[in-house]
Amino acid sequence: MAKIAPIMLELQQLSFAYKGAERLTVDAVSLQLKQGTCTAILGPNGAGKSTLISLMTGLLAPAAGRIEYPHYQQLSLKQAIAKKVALVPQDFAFYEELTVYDNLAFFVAISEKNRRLHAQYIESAIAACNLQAVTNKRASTLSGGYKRRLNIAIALSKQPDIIFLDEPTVGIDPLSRDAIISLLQDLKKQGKTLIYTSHLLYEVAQLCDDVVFIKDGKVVANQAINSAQLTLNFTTRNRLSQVQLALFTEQLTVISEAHYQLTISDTKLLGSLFSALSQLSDEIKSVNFSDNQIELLYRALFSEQAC
Amino acid sequence: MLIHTLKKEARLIANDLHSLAVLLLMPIVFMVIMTMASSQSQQSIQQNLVLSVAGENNSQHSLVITKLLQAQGFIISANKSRTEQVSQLIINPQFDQQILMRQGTSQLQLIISDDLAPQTRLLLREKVKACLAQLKLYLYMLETGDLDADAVIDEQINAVITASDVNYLLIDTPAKALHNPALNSIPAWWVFGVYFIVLPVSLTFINERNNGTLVRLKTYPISMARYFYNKACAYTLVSLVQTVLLALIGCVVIPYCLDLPLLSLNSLSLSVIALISLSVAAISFALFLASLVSSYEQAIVVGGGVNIILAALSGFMVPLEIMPSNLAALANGSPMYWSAQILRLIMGETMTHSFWHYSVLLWGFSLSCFSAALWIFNKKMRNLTWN
Repeated sequence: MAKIAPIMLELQQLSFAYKGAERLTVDAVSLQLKQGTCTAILGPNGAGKSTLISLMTGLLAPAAGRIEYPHYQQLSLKQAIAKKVALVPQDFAFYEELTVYDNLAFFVAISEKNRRLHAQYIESAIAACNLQAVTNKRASTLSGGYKRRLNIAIALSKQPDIIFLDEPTVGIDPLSRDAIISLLQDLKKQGKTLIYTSHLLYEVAQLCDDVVFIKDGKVVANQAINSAQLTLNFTTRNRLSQVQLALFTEQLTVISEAHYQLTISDTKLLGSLFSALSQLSDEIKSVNFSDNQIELLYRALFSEQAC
Repeated sequence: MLIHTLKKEARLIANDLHSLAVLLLMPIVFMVIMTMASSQSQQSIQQNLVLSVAGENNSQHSLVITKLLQAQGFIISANKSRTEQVSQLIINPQFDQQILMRQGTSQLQLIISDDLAPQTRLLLREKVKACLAQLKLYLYMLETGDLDADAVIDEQINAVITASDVNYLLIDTPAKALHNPALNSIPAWWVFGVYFIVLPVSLTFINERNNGTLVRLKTYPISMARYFYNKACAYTLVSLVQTVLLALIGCVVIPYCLDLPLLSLNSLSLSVIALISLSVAAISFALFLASLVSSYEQAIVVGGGVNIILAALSGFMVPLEIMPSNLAALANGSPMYWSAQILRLIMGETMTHSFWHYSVLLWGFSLSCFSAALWIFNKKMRNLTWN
C-alpha cells in the first residue's frame, strides 16, 4: 500500500485585502501542499500570487481564514515558519561583498543557536548546491549561475522542510538552469516541499507536481500535472458543426469559436484522431501538438488579460 | 548573533572601497587640506604685512610712522617700487605740516592689491590707521611733555605703544587654539568624517531591502527590532574604530607632518566619553537618515547633503567668527558643532562645564534619532512583503 505523503501546509478560506483596496487581493483560497511535492503558483501580474505567498510565509497576516503547518502542530505559526520555512527570492538576497562562506555563516548564525551545528549546516548547503569551488570567493565575483545557487544554498542552510522559490533560474544560461532544476528535483526526493513561482512554464512542467492558477485573488484551477498527457490544439476556418465534432472520441474542449483542444491520455487513440482530422482537412487551418498542458491552460485562462 | 552581525558589517565596510574612502580617506584629506589651508592663511597674512613706503621718507613724521608700522608687525620693504606682492604706503609731501589739521584730505595713501582677501585688506588698512593714530598720539605726548623729546626714537615708540595698548582676555577658549590651526580644523573634519558613516549604513539598508534579504530575514527566528539593535551596535563599534583611527591620524600624524604642535587628549576618561558620544550620535543620526531613504539616490542626496549643510552651519567650512551672528547662532543647534566642541574641549588646556553640556545634548540627540529610526524601520518592515 502506497504511503500517503503528509500535508505540510494547509490554507483554509484564506482572504486578505490591502488597506483602501476595493476588492480582496486574496479571496477565500484553500489549498493543501504535500511533503516531497512541488507546487507552482501561477497567474498574471497582479493576480495575487505574491500576496498569497506573503500570507503563507507569515509576512502578512490574513484578514480571514487559516494557515496551518500541520506537521508542526506543537509550534505556533510564527515558530513553524521561523524554523522550517525558507525563502529564495528572485533577487540575490545576500551580501555581495561577503564570500560565499561568510554569507552562509551569517544566515546560519541567525537561524541556529547551537554553534556546534553551524559548520555542518554550512558544509551541507555548500555540498548540496555544489559551491565547493567558490566557497572563499566574494559573492560579487560569482557568475549568475553560482549566485543563483548561493541564493538557494542560503535557504537550505536553514535546514527547511518547505521552500518558497521565486523564479530561481531567471537570467542564467541553460546549463546552469539544468543544474538548478536538477538540484530542486533532488530536494523533492529528499522530502522537501517546494512552492514555486515562475513565468517559465516549461520549467514548471518539468519540476512541479501540481499547479495552482490564481486570478483576481481566487484559485481558478488547481490540478496535478500529468506528464503522460498529450494535448492537441487545432483551429478551423469555420465553427465545427455537431456532426463534425462527433467525429472525435477524445475529450474535446472548445477554447473559442474556431479553436479546439483535445487531451489525449492514451496514444492508442492517435490513429482515430488522425482519421477524424483527415476527414476535416478542408476545414483545418492549423494543428499544434503540445506536451505542456500548463501553458495551454494558462493561455486559456488568462489570454484576455494579456497586455 | 551580535558577533556575527558585527563581523558581517565590518567585512561589508572593509570590502567596500567606496565605504573606506568615505570613512577614512575623505576625512583625512579634509583634515590635511584644511589644516594646511589654515596654517598657510596665517603665514599669508604675515607675508601680506610686507609694505613699501614711498614719499616723504626723510621727514621726522615719516620715520616715526615707519617705526610704528614695524611695531605693528609690518615688514618695511627696501624695494621702493610697488610690486603686485607688496602693498605700498605713499606719504604725501605735506604730511608733516597737515597731520594735525582738523580738516583736509588724508596725507597717507595705502595701495593694496585686489588679489588679497577682503579681510586681509581690511586688516592692513586698520593697522595703518592705528599707526596714524599712534603718530598723532606721539605728537600730542611730545607737546604735553609726557614723552621725553630727548629720548631715542625706539624708546619714544615703545612709550606710545604702551600708552595706546589694550589688554584683552580670552574667556572659555582653549589657549592652544590661538597658536595651533590644527585644533580648529582637525576636530571639525574628524567629526565630519565620522558623521559620513550615514552613506555606508544607508546603502546597506537599501541593499538589504531591495534585494530581498530583509524579507528573507523576516522568516528567520529573530525579531526585526533585535536585528536593528544588533546592526546599531555593530555600526557603533565600526564607528569607534574609525573614530580612534582618525584621532591618531588627526592628533599625531597630520600635525607632525605639517610641523605643527601635536594635539593631545587631556583626560583619558573624558576622551573615552567624548569618542563614544560622538560615535553613538553619528550612528543614531545615520540610522535615522538610513531608515528614511529608500533608494541609493536618496541616500546620497539626503545623507551627503544633510551632513554638508550641518558642517557648514557648524562652522567647519567658514569659521563661525566671521559668519553673521544670526547664522553663527545656528551652530548651537547642530549636533556636528556639539561633537566638534567636545573634541576641542578635551584637546584644550582648560576643561569647562561646556563638555558636559555638549555631551548631554549629544546623548539626547542620539536617543531621539535612534527612537525615530527604530520606529520608522519597524513600520517599513511591517509593510515589507514577498516581491
